[in-house]
Amino acid sequence: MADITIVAADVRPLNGCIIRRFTAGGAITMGMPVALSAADTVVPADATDCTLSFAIGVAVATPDGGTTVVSGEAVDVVLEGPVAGYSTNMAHNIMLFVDDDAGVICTTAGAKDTVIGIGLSTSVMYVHPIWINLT
Amino acid sequence: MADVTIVAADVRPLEGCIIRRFTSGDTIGMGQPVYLSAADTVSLADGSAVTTSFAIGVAVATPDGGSSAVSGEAVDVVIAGPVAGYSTGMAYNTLFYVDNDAGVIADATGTARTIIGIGLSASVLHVHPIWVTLT
Repeated sequence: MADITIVAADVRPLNGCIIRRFTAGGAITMGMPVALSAADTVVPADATDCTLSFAIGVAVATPDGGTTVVSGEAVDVVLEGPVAGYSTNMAHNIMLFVDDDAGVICTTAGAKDTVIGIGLSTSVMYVHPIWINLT
Repeated sequence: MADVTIVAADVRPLEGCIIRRFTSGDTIGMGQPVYLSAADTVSLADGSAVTTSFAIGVAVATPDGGSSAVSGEAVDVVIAGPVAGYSTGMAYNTLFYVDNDAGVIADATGTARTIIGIGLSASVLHVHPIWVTLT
């Protein structure tokens, strides 16, 4: 089991991804996986809780270009597609999961198994959520 | 188990979604889930059989702006991304499935399990098909 290092300042949505704007329901750092805590509102995904394990994508941008958002601020989320900004333990062709620590991406599944995507290189993840544990 | 109400006249593809044009092989209402019944041809997805449960997306538009397409007509399908136009039964952070009734989206799985997407709000579905039952 290895956590992926997120370099928030380097997180960028790459060509071809699907982005949608949400409201942050808590503090979120760019690059973190997020789940819906209310309609159109996202918080860091957390595999210890089934509902919070339903990650819909990863946070990639704030309106002011910052690396974090707090509750109530707008945040852009990549729902599908490639995102740059990862480092240690990111690699091509490895499945990446929502971790039991909120907002963390890991190389092994948490208590509730949700794939957040697959590594394309040492810095890029292809976001493609797969919800495996449904209850 | 609850079916989702589709308001065909309100169905709209939202920013960032992926759309592809197909030929309708059936009478299809906008907002309904569809599967490939022939090459580049879509019909209503149906969770009562494996092959018909392999939904590829939801119908969103016809060339004349109508709310339904009949067999042989062109129909635009959102393969991935957010789609508006749902009402009763739609909710954030809820997984939605292809129902055993053709063209129906429900919050419980059909006989063959296919997730068609996840709710983002009370009216928006993020189309993200996951084919769980493969045989």
